[in-house]
Amino acid sequence: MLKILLIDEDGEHAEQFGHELARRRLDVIRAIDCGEALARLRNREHICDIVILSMTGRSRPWLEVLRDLQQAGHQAGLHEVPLFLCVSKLRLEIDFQLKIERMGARYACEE
Amino acid sequence: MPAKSSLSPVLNKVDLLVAEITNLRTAGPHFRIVHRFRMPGSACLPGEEIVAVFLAYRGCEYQLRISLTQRILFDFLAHHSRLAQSARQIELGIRADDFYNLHAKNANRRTVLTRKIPRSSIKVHIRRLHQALGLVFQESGLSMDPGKVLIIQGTVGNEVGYRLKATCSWIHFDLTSRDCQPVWGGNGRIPLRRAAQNSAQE
Repeated sequence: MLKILLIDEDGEHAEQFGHELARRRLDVIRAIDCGEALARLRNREHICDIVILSMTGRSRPWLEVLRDLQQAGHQAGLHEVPLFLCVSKLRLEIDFQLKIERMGARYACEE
Repeated sequence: MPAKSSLSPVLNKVDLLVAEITNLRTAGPHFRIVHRFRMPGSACLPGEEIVAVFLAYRGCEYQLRISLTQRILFDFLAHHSRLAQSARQIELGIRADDFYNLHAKNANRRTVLTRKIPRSSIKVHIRRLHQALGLVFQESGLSMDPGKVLIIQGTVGNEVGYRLKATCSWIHFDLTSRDCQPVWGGNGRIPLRRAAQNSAQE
């Protein structure tokens, strides 16, 4: 069973999302903020396969957050780095999507 | 349920990532091996050159930084990816195959781009291939252990086998010299002088 780390500050949204992922027989772990996610990613005992970063609000430096999360994933296991999926409720600009893709992550919008 | 439908594009992406992980774990990454100097109209035949090996990942191609010897070894392992072979078997297999004995001969009728790969050097080349795979995985952002792609498989004895756990496809570039083009008198590689005689007789 693949393990998913879901980083979502919105409890209700995370619950709904987690339910859908569990229906796909995925093992979901939720982190309520990036600090908790970093700690979980650095933990070698709980290596995740996919990290889903819910980017709510445009005020946060999401690219830096993504970079920190990727570095934490690398620290845990050099050859077992999780795949990253960034999601947002509103469609982000194409340039921003391109930057995410160039960092090796994927992007999806809920719209 | 509108909430559920709003998540469906995201869930589609999750399905894609899950499929990607599953495929990488079961079949390994995908490599594209490029042969050039093919005779127009022929299939893959001796005389061609293994010019490059690319990792194909997420719609992009990344070239492996490997030497001629390593390209030959990679091509051989890719052709026999279903079985692990010892260094001795690899050496014999390459020596017995005209594709490698006549490597790149179509280019200038000489075999300057052939290599004899002794059994004793295969271990070193495998190590270099691991390095090259590590570099290309890093470049492409693919997090895979090179040792899980080019596998060193132990046996109950002292021998070890080498196997490439990957899917491979081959693409070919034809020779473009005038005397090997069908439009100039067929697929046979007729020397220019003889081709001139033939055309004079006609």
